[in-house]
Amino acid sequence: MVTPRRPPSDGGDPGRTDAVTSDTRGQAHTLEGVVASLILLSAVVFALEMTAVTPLSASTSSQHIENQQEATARGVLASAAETGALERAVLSWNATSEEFYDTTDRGYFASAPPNRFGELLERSFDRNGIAYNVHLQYQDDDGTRDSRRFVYQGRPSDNAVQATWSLVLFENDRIRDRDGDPTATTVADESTLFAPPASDGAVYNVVRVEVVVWRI
Amino acid sequence: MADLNPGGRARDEDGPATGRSGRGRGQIILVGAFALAVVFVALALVMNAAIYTENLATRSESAGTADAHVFERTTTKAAEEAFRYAHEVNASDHEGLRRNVTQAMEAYHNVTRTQQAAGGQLVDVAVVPTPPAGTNVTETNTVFESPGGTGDWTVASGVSGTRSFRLDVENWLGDSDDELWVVAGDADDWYLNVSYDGSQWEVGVNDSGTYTTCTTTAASDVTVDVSGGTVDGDECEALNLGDVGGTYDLKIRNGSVADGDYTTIADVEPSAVAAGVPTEEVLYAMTVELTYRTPELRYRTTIRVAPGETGG
Repeated sequence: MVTPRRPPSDGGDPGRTDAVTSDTRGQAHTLEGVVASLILLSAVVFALEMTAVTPLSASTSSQHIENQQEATARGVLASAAETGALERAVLSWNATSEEFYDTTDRGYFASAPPNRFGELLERSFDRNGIAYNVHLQYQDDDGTRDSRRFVYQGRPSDNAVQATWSLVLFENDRIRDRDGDPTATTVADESTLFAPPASDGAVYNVVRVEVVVWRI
Repeated sequence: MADLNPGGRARDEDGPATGRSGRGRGQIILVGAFALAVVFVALALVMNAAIYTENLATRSESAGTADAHVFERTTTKAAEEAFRYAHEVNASDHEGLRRNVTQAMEAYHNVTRTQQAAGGQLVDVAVVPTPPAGTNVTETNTVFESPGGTGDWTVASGVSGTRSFRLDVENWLGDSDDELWVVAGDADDWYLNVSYDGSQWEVGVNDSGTYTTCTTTAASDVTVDVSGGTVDGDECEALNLGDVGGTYDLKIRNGSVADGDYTTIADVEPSAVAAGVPTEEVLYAMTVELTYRTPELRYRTTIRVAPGETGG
């Protein structure tokens, strides 16, 4: 790598400074080699460490935001379930159009649904520039898992988070009208409802409401 | 590479000796630059490690405990609904009720099992076998005496727990110094006293010799919610029947001095209730065992459903 230009030795005359500088330069070369290898090594270590951070999140702050969004989504679901708003929203089924009331032509909402659950979503997310999808997962006729879009605002980003809540429908639960008030029809009598009966007994089906949240 | 400082020029200007030391200085500068580079890389490493540590530390969901908690809450809600549904729809005997709640929770388990498995969680939900039998004893607009007309009588024997226990005293038929007692076991242990002096009701509790007055009211009637621990909606701590340990007989003394309504669900068979009193078979409580497992977490808990029980 380095060719030290050592002048020919003339017998080590102590009166000359050349020999001393040559020795110093030799040491410097050695040191240089060692330090260069250290740089290479630490660069490799650095590169290896880098891979541990980047794939998941770009920075610490975005992780904080994800945590907050996840907690908010969980809170929205829990409070909607506690007040019954979630059940009212999921059971507001229009048997004529075989869709939820007031959906777009595609059969799902493109923004907050016009009910209490929708208000909760709107207050929590819409005003802060956060997009969300709401999916309803249930057991299909053949016992497999099926999913239906309830609110769909697009494809989530890589930093999206999700929260879920399972809603148990009993066979004597009432289908709700546009305003969320119970009708005379029970879920077991409503053949057009998105979820078919999952058992012959009391439990009609279990709808897993999944909220996916991400920053626009 | 190392000879960045051209020796020739230096030698020409400053003479041979200075030229050599100038060459040496160039190398020192170079080594210094390398050393600085190492320091920078090391600093970057430290920063990176710090950011990564904070990133790890702020990940609240590293073990998924919140998901386990959500699953427990939804299962609790499902169990309460199943319990309510069974009593609403299948008002038959204890066996029928037990079958109903067990089947409902099995159906819930079947559907949620596949849903949770898709997310990498293994769940197990089962009703602990043989939910305890209970009997609903409710009488409305009645004098608080036995069907045979006795003032001192035993409503139910061998009781160890009650829920939704409420007493609504509407009219006073006795004298102002009469007292209506509801006794748990022995009067020395626990009794509830309701009296009326002609203008005011007084409700008090004697718990192991300590008498506590809950309230005095001039209202037309008085409602004592023993399970809820309230008199006319106002809290009264001494009403706690749960402190009476073991099994006891639930008795009424001086029942002929007042009339009104009473209702309770006791953890006994209907045969333990005084003959002639209207009863209905219900389940006293239900316990559900829940297991939630992920590769990082194993969570087990039991959920108890007993609507209207003290503290429940």
